[in-house]
Amino acid sequence: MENIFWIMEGYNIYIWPSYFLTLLSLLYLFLLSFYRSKKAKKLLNKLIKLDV
Amino acid sequence: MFDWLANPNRFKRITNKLEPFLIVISIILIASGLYFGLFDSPKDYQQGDAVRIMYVHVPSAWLASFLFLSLAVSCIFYLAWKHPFADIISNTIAPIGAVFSVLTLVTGSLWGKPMWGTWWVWDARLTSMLVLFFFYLGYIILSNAFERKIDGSKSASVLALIGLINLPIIKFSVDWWHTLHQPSSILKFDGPSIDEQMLLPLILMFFGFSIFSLYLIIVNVKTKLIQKKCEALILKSNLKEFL
Repeated sequence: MENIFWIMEGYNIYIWPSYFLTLLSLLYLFLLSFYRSKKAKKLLNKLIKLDV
Repeated sequence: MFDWLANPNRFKRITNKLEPFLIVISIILIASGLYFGLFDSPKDYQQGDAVRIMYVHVPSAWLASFLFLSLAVSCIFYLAWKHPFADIISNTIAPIGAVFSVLTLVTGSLWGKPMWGTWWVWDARLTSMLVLFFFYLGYIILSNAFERKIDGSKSASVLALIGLINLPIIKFSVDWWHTLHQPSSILKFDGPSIDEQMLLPLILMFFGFSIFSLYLIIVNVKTKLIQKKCEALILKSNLKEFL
């Protein structure tokens, strides 16, 4: 087998999914937190404008 | 001390300044860890390139355990002093810790297949890690299972304290039982037995993940504080209508 970087001695099918899944999970946590924060701020502004 | 830290306005004031630094530092640390882990660290003499899975698996495992310890400490504050801020912190930590415990199990499985020839074994380390994930899951389910939030928070906090027993089991499982999982090579009494070139990406990734988690906890705690304020405003307006 040609020993190029991406192939990683044939372990590429295990290594890349590990990194991909980890980074994807971190991105998911970040986006979810960001979205929830925006949504909560929007609701608070709406309530303040309604003079609740 | 906790009261001083748990003041929502003070918390917001301090964390507003801290947030951008935390996200930038975590990105730099994770990017450096990825570079050293994938490009600059040596292959293992037995495992070859497969050892690179360690740089995402081990930091995730450490963090899953550390976050559970933080969750339990926060639950002690909640149960002992009934401070709602401690409950908010616990509720924020739980899903993040659960994600890291799933990552530990999945990346461990992806590492186990080429090294052990199997995706899963009912080995002491793997099973205790799965139990940790169930404790996280149990905490999340229990804290949302009751009509009165306070009942859910109390029950979930007690569960988290019971779950503390699992942390030393995870750590020492490889010493107490004959396991397929390799013994500790970093957190040992006589110092790490791992090569420095391998230790560097591991440490970078761990601190990167930890600071990133701290950033997420801060953002989510602030969101929950806003949500509580919204709930109070809505409740107030409904009461006005009823009066």
